[in-house]
Amino acid sequence: MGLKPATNPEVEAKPIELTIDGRSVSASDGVSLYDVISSTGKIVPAMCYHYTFDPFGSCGMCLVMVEGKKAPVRSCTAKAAAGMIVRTEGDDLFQARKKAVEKHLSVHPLDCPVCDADGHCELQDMAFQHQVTNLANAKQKLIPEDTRSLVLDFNMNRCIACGECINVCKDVLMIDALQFMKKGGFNQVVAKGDQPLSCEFCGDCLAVCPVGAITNKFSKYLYKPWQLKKTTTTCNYCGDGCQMHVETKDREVVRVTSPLSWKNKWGDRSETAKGHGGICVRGRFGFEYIDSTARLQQPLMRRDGKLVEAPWLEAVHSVVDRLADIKAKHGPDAIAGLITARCTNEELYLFQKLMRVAIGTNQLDSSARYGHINFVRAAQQAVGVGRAMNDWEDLTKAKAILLVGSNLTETNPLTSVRVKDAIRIYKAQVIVVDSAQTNIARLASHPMMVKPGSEGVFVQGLVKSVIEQDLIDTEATAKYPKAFAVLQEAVAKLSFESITAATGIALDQIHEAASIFAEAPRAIILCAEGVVRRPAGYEKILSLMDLAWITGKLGRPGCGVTTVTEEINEQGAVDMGAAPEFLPGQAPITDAAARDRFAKAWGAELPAPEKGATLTEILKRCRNGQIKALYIVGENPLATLPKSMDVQAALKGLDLLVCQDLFLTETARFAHVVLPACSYAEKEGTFTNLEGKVLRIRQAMDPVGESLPDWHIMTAIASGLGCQLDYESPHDIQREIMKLLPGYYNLGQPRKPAPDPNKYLSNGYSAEVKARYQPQMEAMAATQAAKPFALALGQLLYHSGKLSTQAPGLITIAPNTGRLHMNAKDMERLGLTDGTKVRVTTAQGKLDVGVQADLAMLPGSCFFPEHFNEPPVKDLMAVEIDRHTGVPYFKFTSATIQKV
Amino acid sequence: MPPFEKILLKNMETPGYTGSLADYERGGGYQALRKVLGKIPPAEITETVKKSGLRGRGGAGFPTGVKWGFLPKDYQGPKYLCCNADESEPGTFKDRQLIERDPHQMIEGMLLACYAIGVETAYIYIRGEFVLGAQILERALAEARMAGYVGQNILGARTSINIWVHRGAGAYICGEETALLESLEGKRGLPRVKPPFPATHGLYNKPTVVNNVETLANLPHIINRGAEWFAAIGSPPKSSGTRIFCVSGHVKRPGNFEVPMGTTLRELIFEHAGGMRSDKPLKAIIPGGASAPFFTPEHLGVKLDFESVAQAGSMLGSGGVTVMEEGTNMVWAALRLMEFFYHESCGKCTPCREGSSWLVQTMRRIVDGRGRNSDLETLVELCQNIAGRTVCAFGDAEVAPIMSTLKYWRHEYEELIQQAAMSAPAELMMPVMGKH
Repeated sequence: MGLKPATNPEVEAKPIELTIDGRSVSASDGVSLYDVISSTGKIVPAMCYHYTFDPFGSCGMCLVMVEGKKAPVRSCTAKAAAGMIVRTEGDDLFQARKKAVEKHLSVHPLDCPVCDADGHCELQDMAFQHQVTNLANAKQKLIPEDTRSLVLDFNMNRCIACGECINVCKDVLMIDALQFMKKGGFNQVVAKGDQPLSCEFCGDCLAVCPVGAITNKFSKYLYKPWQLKKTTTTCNYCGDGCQMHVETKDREVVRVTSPLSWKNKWGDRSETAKGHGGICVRGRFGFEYIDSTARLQQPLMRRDGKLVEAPWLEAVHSVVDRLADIKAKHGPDAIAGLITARCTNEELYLFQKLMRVAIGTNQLDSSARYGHINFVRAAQQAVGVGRAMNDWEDLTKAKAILLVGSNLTETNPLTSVRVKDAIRIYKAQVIVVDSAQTNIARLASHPMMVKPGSEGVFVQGLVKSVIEQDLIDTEATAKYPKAFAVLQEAVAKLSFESITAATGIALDQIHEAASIFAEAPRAIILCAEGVVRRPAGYEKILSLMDLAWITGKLGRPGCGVTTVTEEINEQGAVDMGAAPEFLPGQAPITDAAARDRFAKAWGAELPAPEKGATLTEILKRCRNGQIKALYIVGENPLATLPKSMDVQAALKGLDLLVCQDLFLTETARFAHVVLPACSYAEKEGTFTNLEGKVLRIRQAMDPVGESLPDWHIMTAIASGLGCQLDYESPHDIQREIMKLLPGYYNLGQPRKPAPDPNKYLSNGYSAEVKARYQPQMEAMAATQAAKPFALALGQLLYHSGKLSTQAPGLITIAPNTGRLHMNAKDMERLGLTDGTKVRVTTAQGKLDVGVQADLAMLPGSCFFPEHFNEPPVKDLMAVEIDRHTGVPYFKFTSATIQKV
Repeated sequence: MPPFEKILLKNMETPGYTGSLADYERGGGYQALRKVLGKIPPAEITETVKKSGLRGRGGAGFPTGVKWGFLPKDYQGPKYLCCNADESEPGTFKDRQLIERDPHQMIEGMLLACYAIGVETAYIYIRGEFVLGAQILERALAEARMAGYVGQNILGARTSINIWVHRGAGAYICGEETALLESLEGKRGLPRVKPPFPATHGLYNKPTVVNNVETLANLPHIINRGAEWFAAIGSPPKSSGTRIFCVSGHVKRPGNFEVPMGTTLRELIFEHAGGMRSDKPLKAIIPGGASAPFFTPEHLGVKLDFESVAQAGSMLGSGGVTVMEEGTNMVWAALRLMEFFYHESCGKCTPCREGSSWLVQTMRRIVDGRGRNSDLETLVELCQNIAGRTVCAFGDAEVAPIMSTLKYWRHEYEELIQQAAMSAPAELMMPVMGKH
């Protein structure tokens, strides 16, 4: 629909003056009068309005008098104009609005006593506010409840047909899963085509429903809103770090709600560029693991080969004694630690301090090693800023977005809403480079369906195209003529023929993509799992940096190279120094000045940098007996890494394996001591999201069983090891971090780093660029001929890591089908139907697995969700370790598929 | 006064006229297209239409040339023309005749409009029930395509115009232009909020013109005979040209009558339509389709042009003139119309959706002899809170029958209620909470 001038950065809205209730107000010409009125703080009731979408104009509540008009006008659809004289109050308007409320009430069953929305209902509020006392027209529509959806129940007796659910779904989320349908004489909201609802299940429709017409299946009839304790916190699933409200009753999480709600329908539309306040299916319906009965209640210790419950005191003493013993016997480097990036910043900081100071080893790593570290290291190398360069607002307002190797809708749903906003409101051109027909590819203006694994080649093609089409930003390249000359020379060796052959993309499409990106005033590259978790990830990111540099996008406001993270605090893990190569603040461990600073602050000697080890190196040292003790916080390498990594052997050879987790994971089953940790809902702290915003998490409920927050356990262990830490709460740790890293906690505002390629382009660039632009197409073609299928492991929208599989709500939506996702045409060709068993053969072995058709799959590719290990598809994957960053690549391989 | 020469119905009233391409061409058909194509710049045609004073025949009477002028100039990318053939206003059946009897006339009109506004793709959104009309149009379009009037490079010129027929699914609201566009896009036909108007954000969000069948059918004649000729017909300057009035109800000779605008109601009913059916006195007239407020015999002298009818308190609308004789129960008549509107309310806006159901309930109660004294007040209040509170003009239209019957025949309502009070037992009162 028509753009509001206020949300269109291309249009300078004319400032105007108008009078509202005798007060002069300034506004932009042409915006909704309702928005102008609400911006003055006046609240005119409106039932179908929400600032996140275009006015629908159906409820007839937002009436105001405009001078010169005989009858009241609906302010939401009226446009503000210069000199307008508006009255928003008065008995006539009150009566008119009352009539509108009566009409809404006339089709409502008034079943408030059993309604989930009782006390949190706009219709109740409006009836009360307008003194509607005649309820004689209340109507029982006797529509049977629609319970066909997996997560939402539609009680259309209560529906007032405001259309907010439909509009938020269509306008904001671009899913368009709901519609009105006249059934049984009543206008009802149904899923498209009156089918069972099948959508992204973000639940934003539930959030904006002002009455109890849409209800949450997992909490229906369980509560009255006023009984719930509402805690605002940060979601711990993906790197988006959405703010949300965990609502608890006693020791039970009843529901999770979003800031997006009919309750806050007033706002500035342009502010939605920073996020519209919604959350996704994982946040909203994936909360049940928190109070799951499977949670660990007590520490466990291995006695006679069995894990039995033990008191905390005994467990911690045992851990401390055995660690001290191993350290005394074999030295500190016989001990290593792994931590999950779902821990808070404070805990990650404390973890590395525990490892480096209390134990004295640099053998520590976090789950950022699975991919994000590639981006951090590459960005550090190229521009000196080890994180995403852009925030959500940049992304929303970009004119061109180059999305490389990302199924954004599924991995980071709310970041993808920003891209959708960019497409819908700001008319951005979106180029998606991927080998699957993902949701975001379908919405994009330029979907580039490359052959599996050829994203890097496509990027090289873009660089070549920019140079050959002369789309370079001469100002940017002229500063580094030597570097540019080397790049030109490297690129000249590549031929477009081989690039188009390898990617399967026609040359003019490559040229078009290059010119769209190069010519856009605000252009962002977003690379994700298809780059950072696939072979040569580090180098591919550097090639993307090349592209950004030669088109002049480095350092220009609103431009940059950005990534998304799979776990909430991957950025925080690197920032806090939970990686062997970094001290807190991403200070290189080899940097003498930084070492001095931290050694002084911590009052201890720091371990030698060269003895550090990354995840795979740690496992290798476990296997060869160098490492005797492993301390694992929330990580589950056994279930994550393929069999070829031989994690099991590594764990079995240990003298001491300590696992600290919410659940008894596959890895924890091998542990000597298992320590029950708290979930994010039971502790305080902060997360750093993919924008670099530091976001608070707040304790919503008492710890489950005897579980303790990770920071508490680590403090106890450190103290036991003679490193006295007197942290009484995460705030104490926070204070220490603040001192060491001034400005890190920045009240939730994203810090805009200033990327500076100077160091990189003036120094080491020339040496490494040649190696990066080596043609690799022949090798690719050879593998493709031998093993024609590309097998990829990846994320589903409904899951995050292994954690979400503990949430019954998400398992209801997306259970493990145990089937390989394939292209329907491939299945037809091989004579397969849904459920047919095939034999998948890779270099690592073979496996019989059922198949299912998936519309997103392109011919020649297949996919298995990485959240599930049954059947163990992951064990078919080879592991390749990045020579620069030590990232283990195991999400992608070639395979043959035969019908069994 | 010289005998009036029909314009739109002229062809089809020629004996033996079948509506085929050959027949149409024989009567000078497609000459206008040949005259302009590649010879007269499109902007000049828009000017001619503006000068002719042609106003929309769908109901609102918006000047056609001005509407065309609202399309963004130099717009790159597709633009669309939609011919609104979703004629579903009760009492209106003129477009149906134009479509079924002389399809090429409107097709030529569409081609001229497309040429004038630079459109390459045009749609005819035809009412679902017009099965025959759709078949005839398809056949006519096939003929026109064969003859090179429609399709790529029409008549060898560089202009390409494609016309497609799209059948509606039976919703009255899809005659509203934005609901029509939604429906054409494959969605449920709900009106859009205006502005933005279709001229800038229409079909698939692209600039779009929506014109009525009768409006388009006038175009070939305007091009052939000049703007001045057309502007002089009827009651210039505001209401030029002819109108086809669809006379129905208690008259001797119901049917479509093409007369110059400005003809009085008396002449239309008593001369063209042959007067009252059973020679009872006239009681009520709806002058412009079901959404137009009622007239009484006092209004027989009103001239049928946009301004005069509006001045007299109704609207010329779609040209559906429904005549009712003495003895008609006006409350019942209003209820019948109201039931239609209740059934057809699309359900988007609460005032209309719930208001119409409430109105029907109340009206039915009165007609069934269960009326209450407070009901008349309820009716007025409800009507006042529907009109102007909805996204489209449906809300204004649906209250017209009740408001105007209440204005002229309030005593009939009161009598019904009085009888109810005398005969019916005291009704059980619904519980009322708190202060009333």
